[in-house]
Amino acid sequence: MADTFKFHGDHVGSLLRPQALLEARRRVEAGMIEPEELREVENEAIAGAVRMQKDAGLTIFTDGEFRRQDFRSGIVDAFDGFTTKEVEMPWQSPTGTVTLLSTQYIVSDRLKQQRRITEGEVEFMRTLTRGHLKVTLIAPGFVAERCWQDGVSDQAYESREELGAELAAATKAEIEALFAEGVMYVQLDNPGYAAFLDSHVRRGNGHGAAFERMVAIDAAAVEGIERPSGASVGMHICRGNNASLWLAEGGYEPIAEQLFGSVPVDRFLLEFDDDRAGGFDPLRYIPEGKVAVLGLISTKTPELEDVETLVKRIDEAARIIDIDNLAVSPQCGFASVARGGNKLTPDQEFKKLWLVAETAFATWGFET
Amino acid sequence: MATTEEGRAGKVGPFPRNAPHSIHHVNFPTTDPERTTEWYGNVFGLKRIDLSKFTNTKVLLLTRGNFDLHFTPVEDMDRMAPYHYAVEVEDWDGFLEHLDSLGIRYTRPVERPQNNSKYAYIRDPDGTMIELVYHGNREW
Repeated sequence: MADTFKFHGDHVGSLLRPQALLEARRRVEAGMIEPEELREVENEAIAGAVRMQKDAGLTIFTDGEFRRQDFRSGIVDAFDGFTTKEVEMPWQSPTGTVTLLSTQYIVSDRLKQQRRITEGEVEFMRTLTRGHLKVTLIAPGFVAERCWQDGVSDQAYESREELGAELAAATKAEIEALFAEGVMYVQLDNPGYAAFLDSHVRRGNGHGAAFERMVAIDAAAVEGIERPSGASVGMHICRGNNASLWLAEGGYEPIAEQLFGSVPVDRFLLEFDDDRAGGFDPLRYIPEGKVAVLGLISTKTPELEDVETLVKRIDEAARIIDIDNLAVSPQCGFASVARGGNKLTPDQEFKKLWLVAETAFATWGFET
Repeated sequence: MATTEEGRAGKVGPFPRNAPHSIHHVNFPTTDPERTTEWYGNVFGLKRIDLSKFTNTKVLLLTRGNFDLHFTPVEDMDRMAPYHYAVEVEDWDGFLEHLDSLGIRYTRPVERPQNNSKYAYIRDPDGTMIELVYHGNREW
């Protein structure tokens, strides 16, 4: 037995949506079925996802984000004040740039919260497992930066800072509500930091101010939150994830010191699954006692990594951070966007998660 | 509880009649009996028991005299975790040095102050986890 419980085998959260779920959502959007019918399909799919995570040997469970269209849905569905538009975005693939139509959410009015960001999610999960639950939320810093459009958002808010403060307060309230519901692990997702890493997404000047604003807003969402015993807040920083494509490349070095030192989360979930991710050196900026979750297993490719090689890489990172403050996970979710699932089959997804648990057993022993 | 005076190996009773003597062996799968024989030989000094004169069983029996491990050959290995077994060692530091000399990785040793024990895990070539345990004040 092991005496520590640090979720050494972790996973980012989103899972491949079953075809029946995608179809049910399409039919709701087309007005062909009622939302209650979609909820039944969601429930069934989530029950399957939880069974799959148990079978894989994981010790922390998510609902796969099956009630969400994409990684931003929780907040944009809970608030009035967003409008959407379709934009073409350049994604990267092994063979070059691919343009995909993506949904952009824009703050076009004062935001008005209509319901909890994770309305009903935990309640249903509790009917499926007594195990530890993880819930993901989009980071408020990302929303404040990426949903802002000059000439539109500034008609409702004086500044990004004002918008960010409101979003941070709502996120903080949601985290506290989740802890009150018994959730052990809340994860903020902020793919926006990728813009400060690298080549493909770097645009113009002013990154310094935007980065600092994002850090301050995300920090405000977490500062002062009292954790129940054993509970954690994590932050996942990814480089884009849609249909096995990515947006950004490069190591965490340019942002590591300020980000890791300023946002008071307990865990940072980082991508280290391929050469695009850079090395472990930026881990030296993770404050003492905090956990670095090494995203070593790729959700972008079906090839299964090897346990022994993964353990060796964890041992390599342990030269920088105490091994007990490391964890292993896939580098990102399997489907950050419901219709943009990565190019894996459900069986390949299961094997990747199985490998997470197996690698954690091999590296740290058993958590109880 | 009924008792018996008959002990084994010089042990003096009375013993409860339902008292087990000890765990005799555990049986885990192996995908490669030769590799398993070599690994357990190197790590624990176990020797293969030659059964060929008595039976055509494919089960691999390894012994060190005071304890046995059995392995059933399989083509595909299922994950055994969290099922595992624990082996208590006589000399903790010596055993870890022995593992180091073999290049076998073990998890960070953990102390259990409540019973003056320590433990760590190793993993056999098929991925079966073995907990190594040491008790500081063992009186038996």
